[in-house]
Amino acid sequence: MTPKSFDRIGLGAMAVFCLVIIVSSLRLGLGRLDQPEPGLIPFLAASSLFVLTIGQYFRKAWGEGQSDPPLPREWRKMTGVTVSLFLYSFLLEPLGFLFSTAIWLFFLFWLADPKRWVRSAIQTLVTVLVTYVLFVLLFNLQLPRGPWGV
Amino acid sequence: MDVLANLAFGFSVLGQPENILLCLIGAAIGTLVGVLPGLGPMGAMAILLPLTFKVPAVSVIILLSGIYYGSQYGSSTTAILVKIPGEPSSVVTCLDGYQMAQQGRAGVALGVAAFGSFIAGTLGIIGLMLFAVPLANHALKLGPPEFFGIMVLGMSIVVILVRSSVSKGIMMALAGFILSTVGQDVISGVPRFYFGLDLLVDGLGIVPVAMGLFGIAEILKNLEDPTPPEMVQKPIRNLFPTRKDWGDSVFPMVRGSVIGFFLGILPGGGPMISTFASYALEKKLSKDPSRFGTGAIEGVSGPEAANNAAATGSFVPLFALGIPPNATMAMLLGALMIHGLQPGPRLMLEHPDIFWGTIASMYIGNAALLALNLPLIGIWVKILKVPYRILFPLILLFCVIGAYSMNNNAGDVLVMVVFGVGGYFLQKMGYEAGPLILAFILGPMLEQAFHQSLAISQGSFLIFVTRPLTLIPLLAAALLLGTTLLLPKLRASKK
Repeated sequence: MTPKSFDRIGLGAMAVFCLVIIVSSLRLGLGRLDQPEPGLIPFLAASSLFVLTIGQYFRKAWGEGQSDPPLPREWRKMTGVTVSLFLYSFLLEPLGFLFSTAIWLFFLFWLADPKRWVRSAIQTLVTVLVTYVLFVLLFNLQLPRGPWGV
Repeated sequence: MDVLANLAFGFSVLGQPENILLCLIGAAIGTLVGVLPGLGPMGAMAILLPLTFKVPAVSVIILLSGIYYGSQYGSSTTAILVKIPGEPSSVVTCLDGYQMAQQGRAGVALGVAAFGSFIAGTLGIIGLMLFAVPLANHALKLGPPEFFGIMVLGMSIVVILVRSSVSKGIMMALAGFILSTVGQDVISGVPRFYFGLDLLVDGLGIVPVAMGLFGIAEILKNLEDPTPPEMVQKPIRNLFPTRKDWGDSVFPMVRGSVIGFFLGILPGGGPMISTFASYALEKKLSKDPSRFGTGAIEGVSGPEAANNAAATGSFVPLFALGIPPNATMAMLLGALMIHGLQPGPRLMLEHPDIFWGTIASMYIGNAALLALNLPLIGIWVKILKVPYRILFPLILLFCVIGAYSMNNNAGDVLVMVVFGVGGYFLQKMGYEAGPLILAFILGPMLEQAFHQSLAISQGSFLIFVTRPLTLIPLLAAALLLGTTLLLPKLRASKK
């Protein structure tokens, strides 16, 4: 029996994370238990986590037969939101808060209801303006300005 | 008399207009995040924290405290009207509260929940005043080894109380600890695990990590199913309980307050555990336990009192020891540290305005919450009707603004998104973020206490076994983890 592929991927990622930390800790130096160097405590923690991760993997491998959970109904919407978040974080500074937020919010409102794009546009405009007034003008937060200085 | 004089001082601190305003704003925001499933007090605190950098520390703590205990009030509204807990601490309220609402007694349920929360909150504040100061005085005699032992015990309790398996809790705690080591080593100053990225040289910020795990991840989870929740349609009437309702509720409220307060002090205790304990107790004491689950008023009044008392009780270890007993208190601790304050028993001595100002704000905040949750209940009902397709972009936007504003760096937004996606998948695999965030915040303190202990003992580990107040919590932690991990296996092998 093999564990659910979902768990396999997750536990695999965790194991890789542990190995990266273990190797990096060795490079930092371990020292001794009574005179630890910067790498010792993370090395011990990562090694323990690695052992537990492998244990979880084999526990699931020898457990009862399992199947992967079904995809959520709205997996396309969730993927769209996630990808848009990543893109937004990259575009936030180059385009500035106003423009990047307007594009991103319009996408999110449109994603929720693709047929009503006019309503999405109005919701975007209102939200961006209110947010700008509240956070930039009232709370004086330094949100990024785009190449047009806005 | 000292207590009264200090309380008067606290009210004088609160008397400044910005502090009263922030107290009321915190209570209102807390109710709002409690009503709305998904965001939670941690997410709200994380979003608001960057906005408070120019605000004095006492004002920040007043605001964030208001959010925490306010969310306990608000979460009962959703639990009663929609059968969805606004916060995990209202899971139990769904059982009988929703049934009461279906029987046309939504007003009674909401009223009893609000009054119970107020009474418990008030009793909890009195307990906080009476317990925190003596505990802090004793804690001054504790050194790094004792704090190390207490933190290990606290983490162990949080780990064993996870809803999934203990081993998963331990894994999350270890992961959180490892993540806390990213950036400069607290002892040597050597940068660790930044992999050439400037973004990571100063470590991972608590705000992006917390907002990712508790904000973004929750939103992704809520987006899985677009079906809107079914709300009770019957009109809400009779918010003020009758004499009979009071008769049935007052003792559960008092019992819930006591249970909640003391469970709130324990690391890992907190509002959720206290509500289950209170519900179980009321069911046991009831002459007709079969009523529970069908609309028993005690099933609402006891747990709702317990969760508010626990929320207040959890301030005791935070202020007296500088050790947060749960993930939300860890955010408050993070807020103190961001404002340059060193949490611990000395905080109450060196900054009495923070402790007593917060206490005073809790009295006012609890009274305000009663008003917010009863006469103004209509506002929250309307908010519950706002479609999620409008709410979630707004919540995401606030998360992004909060993460960016920490250091005016889009890299923090990216960190938040990464932790949000990671947190979502961890949830799907059955791993809880609570132990991770607690270990993430306690990690540097644990490591520092460990190194300081070894420095005191000149490298000898005997310091951890020769000092009783260090040995006892370490043994207790080992016993708790050992029995929780091994006992089920021993029972299974005997069968």
